[in-house]
Amino acid sequence: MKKWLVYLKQITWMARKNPFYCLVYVLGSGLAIAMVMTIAVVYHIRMANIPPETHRDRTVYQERMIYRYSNDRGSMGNYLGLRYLKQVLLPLKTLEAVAIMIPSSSVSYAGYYYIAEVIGRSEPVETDFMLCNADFWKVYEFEFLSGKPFGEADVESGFNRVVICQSLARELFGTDQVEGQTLWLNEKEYTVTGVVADVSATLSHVYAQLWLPYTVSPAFSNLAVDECNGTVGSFQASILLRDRGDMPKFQAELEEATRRYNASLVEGKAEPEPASFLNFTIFGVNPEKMYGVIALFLALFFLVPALNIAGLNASHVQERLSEIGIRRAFGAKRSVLFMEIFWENLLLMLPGGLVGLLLSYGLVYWYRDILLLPGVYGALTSTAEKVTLTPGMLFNGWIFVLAFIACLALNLLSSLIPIRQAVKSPITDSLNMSNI
Amino acid sequence: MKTLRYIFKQIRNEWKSNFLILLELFLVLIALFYIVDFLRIQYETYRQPVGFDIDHVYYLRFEQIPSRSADFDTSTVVSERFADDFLTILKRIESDPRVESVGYSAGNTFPYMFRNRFTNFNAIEEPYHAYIRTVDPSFFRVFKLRAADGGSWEVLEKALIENKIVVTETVAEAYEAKGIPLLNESIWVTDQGNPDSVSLRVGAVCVPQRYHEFSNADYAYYIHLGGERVLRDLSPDVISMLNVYVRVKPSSDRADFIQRFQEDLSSQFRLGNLYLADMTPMSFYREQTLRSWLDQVRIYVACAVFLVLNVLFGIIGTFWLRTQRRVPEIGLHMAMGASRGKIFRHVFLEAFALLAIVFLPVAWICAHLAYLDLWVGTSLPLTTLNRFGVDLIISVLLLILMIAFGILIPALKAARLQPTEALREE
Repeated sequence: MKKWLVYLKQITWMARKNPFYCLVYVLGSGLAIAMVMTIAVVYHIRMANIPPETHRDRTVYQERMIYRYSNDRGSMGNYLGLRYLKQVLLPLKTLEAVAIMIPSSSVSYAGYYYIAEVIGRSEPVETDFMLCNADFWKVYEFEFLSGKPFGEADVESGFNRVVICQSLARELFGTDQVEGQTLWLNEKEYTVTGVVADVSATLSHVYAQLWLPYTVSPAFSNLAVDECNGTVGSFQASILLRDRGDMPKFQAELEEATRRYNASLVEGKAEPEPASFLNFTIFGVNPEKMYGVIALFLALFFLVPALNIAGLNASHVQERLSEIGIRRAFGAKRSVLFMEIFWENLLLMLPGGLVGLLLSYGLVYWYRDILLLPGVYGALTSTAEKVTLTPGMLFNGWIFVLAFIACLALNLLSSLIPIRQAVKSPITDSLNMSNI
Repeated sequence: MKTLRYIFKQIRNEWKSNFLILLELFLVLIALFYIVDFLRIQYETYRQPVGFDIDHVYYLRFEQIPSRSADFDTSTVVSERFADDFLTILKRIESDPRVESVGYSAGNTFPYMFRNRFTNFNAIEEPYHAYIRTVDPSFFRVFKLRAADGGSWEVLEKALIENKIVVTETVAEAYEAKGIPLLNESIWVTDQGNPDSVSLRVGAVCVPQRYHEFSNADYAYYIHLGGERVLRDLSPDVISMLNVYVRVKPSSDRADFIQRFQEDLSSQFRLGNLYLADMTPMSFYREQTLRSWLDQVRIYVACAVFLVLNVLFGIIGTFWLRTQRRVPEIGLHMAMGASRGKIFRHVFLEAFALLAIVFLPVAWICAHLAYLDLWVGTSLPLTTLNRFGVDLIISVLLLILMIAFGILIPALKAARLQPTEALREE
């Protein structure tokens, strides 16, 4: 404890004598920490378990499908078709539940929209919608403020049920306790079964303002189509495994089922993209290359500030050469001196780390539509403004620990050479201040 | 320049403490070179002409009244009536005094909206995919497309009406490079999904076109949709999916134009089972398409700002401490007759000398990067030398600016020293 008090005293003395130096030190390390933490925060928001996507770690995703006509007659590519889902994916056993959904962003280009209004109470509002099945509510854990989700029976019979988000409920009804009330979508009556807390648009697999059973739309629930349109369609699938380790068994079962499905096709073959866990990628960079890109980015944007700080350390430690020389003349060990200066520098770097963390929050917020919306479609719709950041996303133990580790690493990197150099030099050189 | 020689000697003597800042300048200059190059290429690409004009142009979307609706008009189910209704509505739009021209095209949308049909020009190997644009001749008028030799859209219209196709100049140049005559000749193309090739006669060549401000020039051909005759054979579903574009007179194109237009003519825009659902300015689609590109530019600019800020802090920090340490030395200089201006300049020169030292190794490495083509690919007509040279100069200037800013305060501090105080420390 006493040691830390000495360090603190040392730093306050230094700050008073050289306020400018401390400012530059703090700002410089702040920039470096900001870069690292921006990546860390973005990674956390995109990959960690954040409600309602509470089980990202054991969710497998399958979205794209290509139907290839035989005899080289071309192919058609898009999302998954209903027949493929019903015959291949939904009946599989090595899973807990399968959610299938169509977000408005993937069909808005074709002119599908839902305009919501409450007759006599509100203006018509164009909404971000999602068509889904009943198990969607099993795979994703939404917070229901009132009511409950629509169930299997509702979906099978194609009843006009809808779940809406809190802000939409408030906008249309003036309150969020609207279970059982009627909403008009495209001038048809729908019953509200429940109201959920708002969802941020960065959770692209679940984001919407209202959720409907996919069976309310004849265009998307029609099974009487040709092979191609039964295989390729507009659905995306999220598969919840019981355990992350079930993946190989699941993939094997899926392959087998796909093979049987293909055997039943006459005019072509289905080529689904492999089902996989969540990949971290920005700007459509190939997921396999992504970690390389991050490493390169960190190397440059962490190293350059580290060089700055190292330069500052080198210059600063020269001033203390005489002090070091005297202490060594009195028998202080080199390693002890090194650690002392190391810890002092770390204490000085902590405010820099805090500044960096806050700056990274700012950067993530400012660039949120680029960093937090995966895929092209996200950016193509108006949802860019609806990427909200919750405290849970930004303030959690992991992020703080990582920020501290980043400080440590930066400190190590920038202290190593200059301080070792100063501490190692012969005592006589240190004592003789003409070594400038 | 004795001062310069002195400075370089000084730097060499103090190489240990200069090593870190030299390394930093080295890394930052290389990174800046790459970023400046990227931004410059994006900017130059953006500035190139796109070949079409979307000012005051709106995209109209039509829809059919669903058969289950009470408003459904059963007398117009026959498609010939539907086609007539469609063309009548278009004529009504065109006769409105606020409208300059109306045009339409089939399925594939261009520009800024990404639904395309592809083809291959048999005689030229690349690109792997070229575009087919099935349009009504009025399309040229709406987008003010011009012929490559300067003729107006009328030349292009004429070509389509005479059952010939119009190709973009990029295609014409490719054929010319192979020595194959193009104008008024027949060429073979293979359309997507069609195993057989088709022979088409080229009627005109239009100016080079690009899909959007950040893409390369298109290889494409325009062919006549067929007009009334073909429309009558199309089903209502297909007709309602045609893309209709309206060019509005500039004087009439005000903020509330869409609303007033739709209100004024709401009765005119509904005929039979066809009605106007939506009217959107083309600038909306342009914004959507360009957004992801501009986002990339934003990120690169942020990275450049980060790097130069680091240099700024590095220079300030290092030279502040250095000036502090050199107080006795500076005092001595002043006592020996050096003016304040000289001291000031000395500090500046030292910083720039550091930059000068890293310049040659950086230039060498960047020249290799340029030679090996390890940077953003582009089809702009920029020579490698031009690109490399200007990029390097811009990066260096940027750093000089940063260094100048950073060194200002330490230099002022040095120049303002009182010789007596300085010497007292010694």
